[in-house]
Amino acid sequence: MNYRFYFKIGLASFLLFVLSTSCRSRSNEKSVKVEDLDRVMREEKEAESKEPVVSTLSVIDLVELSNCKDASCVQLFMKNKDQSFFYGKKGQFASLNRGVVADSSGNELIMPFSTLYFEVNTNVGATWRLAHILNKKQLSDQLLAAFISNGFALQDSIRYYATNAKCYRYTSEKFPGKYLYFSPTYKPWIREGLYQNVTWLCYVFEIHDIKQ
Amino acid sequence: MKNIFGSRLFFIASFFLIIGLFLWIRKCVDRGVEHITGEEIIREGDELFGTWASKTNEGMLQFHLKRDGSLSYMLINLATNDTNKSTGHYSVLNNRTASPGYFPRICAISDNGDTLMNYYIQYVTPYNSTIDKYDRLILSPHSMYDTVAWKFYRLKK
Repeated sequence: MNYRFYFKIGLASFLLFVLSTSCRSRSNEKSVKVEDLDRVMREEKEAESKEPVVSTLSVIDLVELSNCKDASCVQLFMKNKDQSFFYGKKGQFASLNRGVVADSSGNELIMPFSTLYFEVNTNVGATWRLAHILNKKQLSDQLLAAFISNGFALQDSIRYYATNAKCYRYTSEKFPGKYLYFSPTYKPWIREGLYQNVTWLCYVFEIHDIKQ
Repeated sequence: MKNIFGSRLFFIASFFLIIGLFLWIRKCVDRGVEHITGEEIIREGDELFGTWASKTNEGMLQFHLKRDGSLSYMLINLATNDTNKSTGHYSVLNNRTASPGYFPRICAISDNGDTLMNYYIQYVTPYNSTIDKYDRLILSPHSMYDTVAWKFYRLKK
């Protein structure tokens, strides 16, 4: 008798549980009203973070970053820049400012205006490298002009193995021991980075800290 | 002979049986509710079903992906208040053998044979996501990271 009673109670609660979970399912509107959609899109826009402050790092930022010789130092420095740059994955920061970049075949791509890559390979013998890569010529011209106004003057040009392209070296008396390596290239960071098949011209800014 | 009702194997088997029964009844109830209301109930693996909509200043696009593979598609011109409606069918091509970097693709063809959509599905709000307030679907003509994409919203009740 007792057994039957408990069985009935169990079955009833099981069915109630099934029905209650069915009622809690996420059904959706059959048709969407324009006002509702407007409200959702407006709410999302308000929730979005504010406009990024800058598209690229400044001359002083890059000079200070050149003192870094490991990933934690770069991450600590970039922590203050989180309004303009986001941390994509290990070794990659990308600018929050995005826009249209035309590649060599005329395709217009929307992407961050600049990225900052640094070496995360800590194997013995790996060379430390940190590069600020700009995807737009106007921004590159601006940053280069800022370097020149900070006393950086063209010293020579070399074939740079890291970008597989011609690289222009600049030095400044204001920043002794700092060498700016500027190189427009299609291979900013071979086999690594956010974009592996680069079809647009990138402008790579690196500061090498060479103490005499 | 040992009583099989008292064995551990019996308990394990009945446990899985009850779970299976629960899922089966839930599915039946879901389909029943869907049949009556005409709205999709979103469970695990059903993230794409339902009505998605997006709007610009000029117009609004709305499409309803149904469980049976059919879709209804509506384009409203807000300036002139013209509405174009069409029906058709869709399929999701999830061919990841070509390259692991490719997103699945949605292809929708109207009953007239016109291609309504042929886009990569860059993102769809996962089931039971607590991060997204509304369900989002991001379609893109490219499979490349961070290129042009359109965002659609599915409003919850």
